Amino acid sequence: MAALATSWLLSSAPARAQVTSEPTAAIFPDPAKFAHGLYSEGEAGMLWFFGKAGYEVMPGFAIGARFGYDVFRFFALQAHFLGSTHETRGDSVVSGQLLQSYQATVEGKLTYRFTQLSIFAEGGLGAARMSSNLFYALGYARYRTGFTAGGGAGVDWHSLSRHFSVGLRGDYYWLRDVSGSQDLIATAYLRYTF
Amino acid sequence: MQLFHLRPTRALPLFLLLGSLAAGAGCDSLNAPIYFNGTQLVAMGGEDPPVSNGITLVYRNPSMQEQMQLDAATAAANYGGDVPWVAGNKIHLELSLKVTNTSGMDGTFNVLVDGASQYEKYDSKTVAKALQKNPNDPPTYLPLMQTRLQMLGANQSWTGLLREDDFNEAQLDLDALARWNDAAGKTFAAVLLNRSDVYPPGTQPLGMGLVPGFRVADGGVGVDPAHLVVPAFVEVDVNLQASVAMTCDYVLRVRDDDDRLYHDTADSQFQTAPTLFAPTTM
Repeated sequence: MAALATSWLLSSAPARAQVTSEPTAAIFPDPAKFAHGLYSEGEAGMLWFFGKAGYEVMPGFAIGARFGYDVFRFFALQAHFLGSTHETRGDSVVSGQLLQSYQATVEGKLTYRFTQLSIFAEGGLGAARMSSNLFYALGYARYRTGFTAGGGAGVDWHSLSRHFSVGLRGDYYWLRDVSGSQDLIATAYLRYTF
Repeated sequence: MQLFHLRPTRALPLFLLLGSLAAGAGCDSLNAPIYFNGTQLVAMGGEDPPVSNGITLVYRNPSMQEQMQLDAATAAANYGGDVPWVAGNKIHLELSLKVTNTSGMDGTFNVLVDGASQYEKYDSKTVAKALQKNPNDPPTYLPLMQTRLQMLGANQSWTGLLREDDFNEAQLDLDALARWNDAAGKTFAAVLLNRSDVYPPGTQPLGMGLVPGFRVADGGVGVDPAHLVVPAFVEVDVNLQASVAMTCDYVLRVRDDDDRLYHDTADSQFQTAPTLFAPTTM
């Protein structure tokens, strides 16, 4: 009797886990782990003038910065500053002169993320300022500073280091106060999200 | 006392933002010349005197503090003349030119440039007339600057520059003729034709080299900026000599280091009445 009781106590039924649902597939990388919120970007690239200004001014090197805040994962507000340097061309009386342009805009940005990669569209308005009255001398502008508005799109690739990502973007801006002129900005950037 | 506290990660974008704004503002003042369009010169060909017009630059009056600084600089220089308000070391000029042959045949042209400082005006047409011994003698034009006689094909254009160093030399020459006329007046043609900083060994420098206080720098001749301040032009006059029908467009570029050009109506305009240069003898 005692042996029967002992064998009953020592024997155990095989353990079985209770499965209530399918296991979740691991997402890698997980965008939820990417930092978001306050961010800054440094960019470098080229700026081309189009329209009347484009006939007179060559494309030039551009460098800029953005500071923004991700209001939501898909929407951000940002401030953009960009400076570029150019030389006039052609056979006009002011050919060969140097000109710098500065643009400051506030922008909204919509982002759609595919895990590590995202695409975005942005647009905004602000002011564009020329370093001299060269466009006035050419008869294209009355003032050095004028209104600008436009937008563009780009692609962002996250480095998986939580804070950093890099990307490419192109923006097209209308220069209201430079007669019949626009500019195209194409840059590569490095972003740091705090 | 701690006025505010920011976490480093929150402060960084603020510093970057302020840095960007400061860099932008700094860059904005690095290259900020002002361009003045001249009125197009239209020559039918063969005019004598050549067709001409010009640009008069309007400057503001110095503030009381700036006037005191000028007076102090004049006293310190002690070379017998004022330190000019429209000074060549503060105002930098460059003239861009485009000459177009509008005729259907080849022709020659030369662009002659004269000017005026706050003290003296030089007009090569007036000088040429003064030098004519007989009314029928062909005039000799001795401008402060020129592009030299050049051939231009039918319906072709030529663009060129009179650079800041050309203006520096012209301003030196005009100052030599104006404020230091006693020293340079008898050799005014040599002053115009020769560079002030180049002269054969064993000879004396011309132009400002004749001015009391002019210093010979190491290894050559130079103007000691602490000693002599050369007036810049307040007026630039452009003359087009052309053998056939041509036009000349020009733009004057001004780099104004100390914001001395008049543009704020709260300032008063600097009035100038330069004396017209007349050669004493020839």
